[in-house]
Amino acid sequence: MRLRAIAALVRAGWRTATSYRVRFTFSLLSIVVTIVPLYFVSRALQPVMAPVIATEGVHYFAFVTLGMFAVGVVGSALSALPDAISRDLNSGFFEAVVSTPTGPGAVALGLSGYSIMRNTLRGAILVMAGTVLGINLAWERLPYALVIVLLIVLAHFGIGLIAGALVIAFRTNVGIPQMVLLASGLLGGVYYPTTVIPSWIERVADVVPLAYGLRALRHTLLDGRGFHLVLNDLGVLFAFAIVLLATGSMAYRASLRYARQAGSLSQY
Amino acid sequence: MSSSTAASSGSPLVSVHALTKRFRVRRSWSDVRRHPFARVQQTSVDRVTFDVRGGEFFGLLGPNGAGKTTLLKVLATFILPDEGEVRIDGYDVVREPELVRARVAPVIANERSLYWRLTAKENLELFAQLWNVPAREIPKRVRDTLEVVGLSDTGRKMVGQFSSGMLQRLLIARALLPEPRVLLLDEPTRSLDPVSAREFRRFLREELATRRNCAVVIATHNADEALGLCTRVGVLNAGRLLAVGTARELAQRAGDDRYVVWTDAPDHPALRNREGTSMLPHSGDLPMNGWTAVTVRAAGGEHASATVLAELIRAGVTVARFERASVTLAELIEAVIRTSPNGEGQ
Repeated sequence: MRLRAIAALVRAGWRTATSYRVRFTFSLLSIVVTIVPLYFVSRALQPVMAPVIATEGVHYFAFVTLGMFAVGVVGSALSALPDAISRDLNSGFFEAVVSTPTGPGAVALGLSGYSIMRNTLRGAILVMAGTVLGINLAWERLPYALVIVLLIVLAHFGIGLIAGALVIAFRTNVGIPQMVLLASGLLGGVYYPTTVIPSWIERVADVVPLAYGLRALRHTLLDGRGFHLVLNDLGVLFAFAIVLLATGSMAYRASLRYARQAGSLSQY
Repeated sequence: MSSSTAASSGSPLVSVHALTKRFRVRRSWSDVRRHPFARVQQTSVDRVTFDVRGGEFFGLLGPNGAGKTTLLKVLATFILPDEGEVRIDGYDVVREPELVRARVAPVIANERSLYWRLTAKENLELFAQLWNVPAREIPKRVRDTLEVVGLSDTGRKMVGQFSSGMLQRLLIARALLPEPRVLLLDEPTRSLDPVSAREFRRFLREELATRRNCAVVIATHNADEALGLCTRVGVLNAGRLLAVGTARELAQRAGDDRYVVWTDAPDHPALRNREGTSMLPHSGDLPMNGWTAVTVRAAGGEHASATVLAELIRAGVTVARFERASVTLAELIEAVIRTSPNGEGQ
């Protein structure tokens, strides 16, 4: 894996984004604006939600802010690569990049890296703004939380690799990022805990990686639990990350080979 | 075979042997319904064989759809061949694509393949990293390359503000950055003005061929490139390589029996009654006051032309100049296609 190449592509994404100065500034300011209505809605819902979320923090505002953070990161990990490939196939940039000796893994990470980092940072700013409005975080558990966020990103990046492979081979992601994001939003415990999900759909929720990651994240950051107390969720999330990354990596390489065979790699 | 072995032993840097590539033909829905399992394929490159050595310019000529771009894309590892063998500097494009990519640089024709919100320098720095140029060499390499293509004074100007000629030069700079052993160019001067195009060809000849000993494969429709720059050219038609030779050889084959006679008596019976004689189009515009250009045929090489000239002079025709008729690229390609039996390649 060529770290220099990945860093160079991420830096190019950053330079491009910051060259649109007004857009870049407003995208950061909008996060702060988002948190204010969220705060008031959460306060209004607190009496209703308090008993439901008792096992994952006490305050609904903190609960839902971490949910918003996680779903933002997941959305980016899912769609950053297929979006970048789609855009760069159309412009010819993808062809230019794959003509270099940089390997396909480094290209995938480099093309999607900036978008994932930007959305993770935006989420972090959201949480920081939340702390100003009263969220109490277990700061000593921050390193654990970072590991959990990394696993969430990796698991969903594996799905992003599969979607990217479909774009390379067939010029469509067949809606995979959108479907997974929808399932994560509804069944991943973003706005309400997974314990309140009706039993008939609970089986589906079992295969939503975000459900495990978000539960572990809240236990760690809001309840201050150590790794040993979230091992079950962490283990399942780790298994998801391994399986999905391996599957995504195979699909991505196979799609490049297919496109080279079909001659569609450099068709705009 | 290692790079150094290939280069030092005088082996070709580009070696293409019996290369064949077929593509599936997209079928209509009704056809798919009638024959769901049928497979229709079109041969884009058909048993093509040629070599290119270091310092050599090889031109690929042919009408649109002849297979030139497909051939370049196989050399660039963008397309996998179905049959045959392609080696770049000794490395196989199918089995060792990473090693091939480290040696071959295609000039991607699409200007959008650059970061338009970055400067020329930033774009080249990015690709220097992707090409794995050693970090300490990058500033000098980028500076030198920008200077070579005449873009060193573009400063903080974003690439999106460049003219099409500047973009073309930047695409070429990007390809030169890794100091490739083999350069692949698809109509490289099409966006350049005539003066820049001539400068660029001079650069290609002096810098790439003479100094760096690169092999350059050019797909072109430009006569100056094909006839003036290329050491050898190959004519492709319908995927088949019909002829390979020096541009002069092929030009002679296309127009070897046509000669231009500059005379003040174009209606002289010795000319008028001669079979295969015609006035050159727009001869009145040609820069020889009072002299008219007339083409005559003389099949049989230099001896035949000498005989014709002697006959004309003996018959009292005043001849100011007698020269081989120049051949346009279109005439050359047409002649090669026409004279190849059933379009069969070499």
